[in-house]
Amino acid sequence: MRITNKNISEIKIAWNLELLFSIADRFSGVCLFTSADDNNRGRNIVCINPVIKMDSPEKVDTVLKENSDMSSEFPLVAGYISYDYKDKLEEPGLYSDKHDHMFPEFRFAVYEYYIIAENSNKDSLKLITLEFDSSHIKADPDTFFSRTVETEHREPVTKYSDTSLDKLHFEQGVRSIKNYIKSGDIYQVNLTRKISGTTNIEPLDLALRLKDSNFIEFGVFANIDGKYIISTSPERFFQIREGILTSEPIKGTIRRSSDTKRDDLNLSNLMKSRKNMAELAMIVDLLRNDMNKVCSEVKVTGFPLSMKLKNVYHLYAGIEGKLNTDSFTDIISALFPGGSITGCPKIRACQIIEELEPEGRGPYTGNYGYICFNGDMDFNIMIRTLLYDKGKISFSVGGGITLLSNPEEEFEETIHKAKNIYDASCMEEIWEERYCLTGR
Amino acid sequence: MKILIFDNYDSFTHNLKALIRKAVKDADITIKRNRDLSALDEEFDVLVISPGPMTWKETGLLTDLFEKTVIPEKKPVLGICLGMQFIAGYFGYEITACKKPLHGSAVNVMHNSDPLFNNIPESFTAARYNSLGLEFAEDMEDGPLEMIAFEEGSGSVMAAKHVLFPIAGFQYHPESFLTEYGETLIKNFMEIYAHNK
Repeated sequence: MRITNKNISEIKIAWNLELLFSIADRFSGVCLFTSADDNNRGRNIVCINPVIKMDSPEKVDTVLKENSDMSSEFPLVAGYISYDYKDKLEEPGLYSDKHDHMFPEFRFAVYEYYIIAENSNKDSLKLITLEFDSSHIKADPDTFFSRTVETEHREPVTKYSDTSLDKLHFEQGVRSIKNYIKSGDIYQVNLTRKISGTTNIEPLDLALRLKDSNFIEFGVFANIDGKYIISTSPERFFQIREGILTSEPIKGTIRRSSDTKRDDLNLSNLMKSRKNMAELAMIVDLLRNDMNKVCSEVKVTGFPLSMKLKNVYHLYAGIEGKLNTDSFTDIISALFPGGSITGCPKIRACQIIEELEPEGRGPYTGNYGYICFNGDMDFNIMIRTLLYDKGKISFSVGGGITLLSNPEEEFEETIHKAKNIYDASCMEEIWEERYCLTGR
Repeated sequence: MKILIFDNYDSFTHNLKALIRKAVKDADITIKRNRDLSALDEEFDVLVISPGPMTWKETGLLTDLFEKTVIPEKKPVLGICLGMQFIAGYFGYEITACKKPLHGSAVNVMHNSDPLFNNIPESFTAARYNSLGLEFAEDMEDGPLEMIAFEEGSGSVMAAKHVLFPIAGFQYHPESFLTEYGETLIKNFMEIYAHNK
């Protein structure tokens, strides 16, 4: 199937994220969004009604080639890769077949409609309409902007069901990793655990409750065949603009303070942390390596850098390279999965993750993003991500384990990272988590 | 010049490749993973052993490659991190837990003015990613390797070369962005051991 025509129209309408999410919700769509900062930079894209679906990187490349005449910023191919897809991009036999089957592992699509809403313009948006060379189920644009009024008001309740690793087992995992590091297997491993529950809150409401929980660099609200991915990721994996591939890995975050002196002290502590700095250096070398597979002139443009957001400072670095290929398959095979969520060396780290984490990760720590027909791309890292299927929810939290890690502190950190999702989903207090009485 | 990078399933192998390409103009570089049988039939002028996870004994076909080609044909070998540990282990030295394991941290390295360090200051900054290594011992001087660089402070061996074969290993990572004079080191190695100018 090919795209035969493209129309762009401007629509004068006061919009907000709630409207955009609701359109994605009603039309098997996805909304990719960025929190508006003080300068109102960033934009939001809603993709409506998937028409051409792709289940492998090779099929994405075929669709890109067949529609190369669309070579501009819009339309685009949007979708995601689950972490568990990693074994399809590596030498066979390196990984086990541990997979989470809640969501398809690879799903990209060309959509019938695209809405582009700039954070700097709250009174109008652009609607792009595509036509195709063969028939397909059509969405009705007249219904996009008419919101149905929610009438039902239930007390929101989310019940805790389980964690894939309780306190005891998570801390044992941290100790195992430290032993692996000591015996030379690995420099660092990212260990995560999955928390699951049941909820009476609708996915759209969950997304609306989560969208203000922190600064979201690259958020996602996606309806995948009636299941939902809600990502409030602060982290971009990589971006390609005019043949330049850039990545800005974050390692280390500290809360900001209203007291100026305290705020400055927090920042200087962040910049001085040995653990953070070593982790950041490692991920920079790892990303340089992965970028060197498909780029020339790979260089570190900043190390270390600090990013000042409303509530937090992030420690990060900048790397860029000149891309040598236009094949999505080559690019994703070189970079996937993102080194900041595996550890290093990557293959051995992934093997240790399979050994220590009882379940597949599913979309968590995979990447959501888009590919333009002109070769530009943008992908996040799906952390701070909630998955929803018929009243069941799950989300995962974890951290980078190094020789300097303390097992108790690392577990505590996972609770801290889960807090926004606990709060937004009204998950009941789960003191068992902390005291390890989950009956395992 | 044909360069074979023997890849121990590492995540820095392509940084090493990029560094060699920068340092050696006519480099024709092939990467083979350590379980790949075709590595044994590959023709090459220089062998580069990548860093990697685990121990020097867990490097797949590397011992076979040494016995089949490297030693009989006196091929030049450059070993990095695990690569240096393999060289030391292969020639009978004991690889032990480091006094100070470090991953992603820069240290000061001091060398003994061996020609491999031509145009490199006596003390320079280099990145370490290792828990295991070669610790200096008095009886080392009787062995076939000459220790040519050490970490300031701990005294751990940071570079060693064979006294007869054109084989040298570096414990630190010349390909890391934290390391100084990585390109100079590769140029020196190729010039001295592979007569490449």
